[in-house]
Amino acid sequence: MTHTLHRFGDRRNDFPWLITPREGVNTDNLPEKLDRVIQIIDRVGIRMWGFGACKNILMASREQLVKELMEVAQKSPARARLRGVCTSKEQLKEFIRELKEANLGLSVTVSGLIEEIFDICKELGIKPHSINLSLGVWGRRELLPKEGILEITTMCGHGLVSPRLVEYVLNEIRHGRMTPKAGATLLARQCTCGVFNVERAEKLLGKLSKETKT
Amino acid sequence: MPPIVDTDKCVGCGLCFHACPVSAIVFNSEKGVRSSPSVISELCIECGVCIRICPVKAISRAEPQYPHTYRLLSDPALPKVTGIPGRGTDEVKTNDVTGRYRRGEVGIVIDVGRPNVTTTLADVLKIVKVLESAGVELEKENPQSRVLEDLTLGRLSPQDLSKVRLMSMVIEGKTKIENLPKVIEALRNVEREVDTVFCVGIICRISEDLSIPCYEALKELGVRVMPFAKVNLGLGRPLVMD
Repeated sequence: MTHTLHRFGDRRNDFPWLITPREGVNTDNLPEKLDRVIQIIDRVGIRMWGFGACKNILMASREQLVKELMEVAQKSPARARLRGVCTSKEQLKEFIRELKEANLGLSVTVSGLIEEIFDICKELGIKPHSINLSLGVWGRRELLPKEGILEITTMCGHGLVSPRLVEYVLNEIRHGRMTPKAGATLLARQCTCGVFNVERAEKLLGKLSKETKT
Repeated sequence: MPPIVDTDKCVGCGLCFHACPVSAIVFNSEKGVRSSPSVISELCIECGVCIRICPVKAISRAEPQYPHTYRLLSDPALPKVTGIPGRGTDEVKTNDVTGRYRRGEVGIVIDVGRPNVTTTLADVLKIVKVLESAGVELEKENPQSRVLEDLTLGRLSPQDLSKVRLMSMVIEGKTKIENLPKVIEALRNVEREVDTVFCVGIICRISEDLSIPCYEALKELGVRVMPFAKVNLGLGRPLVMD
C-alpha cells in the first residue's frame, strides 16, 4: 500500500519508514532479525512504531507488542512488517546507518523529501534501489478537508484519523481540557501501523488551535 | 451489518462519534438526554475505528454480508479480506528483492478514495478500465483482480458496484516507461468522471547516478511531481540488480 507516501504539509522532520520481510526470500531467523531492529529502534530513540498494520506502541505495552510481533514472525512472516517514523534527519541517518551495519537483508523503505533521503544515502554509501514518486491528489479535490486538517489526518495514510476527531481535539485544546501532546497521542492511537508522527502532530495541533475556528 | 453497540456497556462518552471517519455514528437525544450511539449501515465502511477507540469495549463487529464484505478492506488490521493477502502487493517496499519493477518499467499505484473521501467500487472500476485501455498490465495479487473476477463470474452485479463504499482501494499495475504519456492522459480524462479523489504514485528504478528515469518524462508531460517520495534503500538481500 502507499500509506506513507501522500502526506500533506511540510515534510521536513517527518520520515515514515517500513521494514518488510519477504517470505521465502529473507525470512530465515526472522524473530532474531526483528529483535535486532527493535534494539536499533530503542538506541536511536524512535518513539512511534508498530507492526503488521495492526498495533502500534501506543496501543500496548512494549513487552506485549514485542511478544505479539515475535509470534507473528514465526506463524506468518509476511505479516511481521515493522513500521515507524523518524522525527529528524539526524535520527533517520543514525537509524539507516545501524540498519546497514546490521546487514539483516530485509527491505527498508523511507518516505520523505527526496533530496534529504538521497543526501543520507550518499553520506552512508548506500545505493537506493527504487522510488515511488507522488503526483499528488487528483479528482474531486473540493471534497477534501481543509489543508491544516489534512496535514494531520494524512499522517495515517489508511485514513483512520478522522477530520472530525481532529476538530474535536482542537476544540478540547482551545478550551483547556486537553494538551496538544495528549491530543496528538489520542490521534496517533488510531493509526494502527505506527507511522503517525506524534511530535509533528503536537506542533500542528498547537498551531491550529490558536487559529480562529472557521 | 454495521458494528453492534452494547447499550448496557456504553457510557455515552461520544468518542466513537468523533472518531468515525465517515460520520456514520449518531447519538439520538430523548428529552435532552443523550442516548447510546447507533451506526448508520449505509454509511459505515467497516474500518474498525469505533471498535478500537471505545474505552469500555461496547462496540463489536458484525460480519457484513457479501458484497459489503469489500468494506472490510477499510480496516488495515484485518488480513486477507479478499483472500489476497493485504490490500495490494509490497509494490516498491520489497522491489529490491522481488524485481517487480525492472529498469525501463514504471509501476502505477493509484490510491482511490484517500485522503478522507472514500470511494465506491464503481469509481475504482472506472479507473481500472482506463488504465487497462492505456496498456497498463494490472497486478493480479491485488483486490482489484478479485473485483474483476467477481464481476466476470456474476457474483457481483454492475448495480452492486455503486452500493459498496469503502475507505480506499489501491489499484496496481505496470507498463513501459515510454507508455507514461498514455497513462497520464487516461488519468486526466478519468479524474473528471469519478465522484472521489485518488492519489497517483509512479514507481521506477533509481539510476546509479541517483537520477530518476521517469522524472523528466513526467515533467515534460506537465505533471506536478511532489518533492517527497518513498524510497527503497536497496538493503534487502539477495538484491535484484536489473
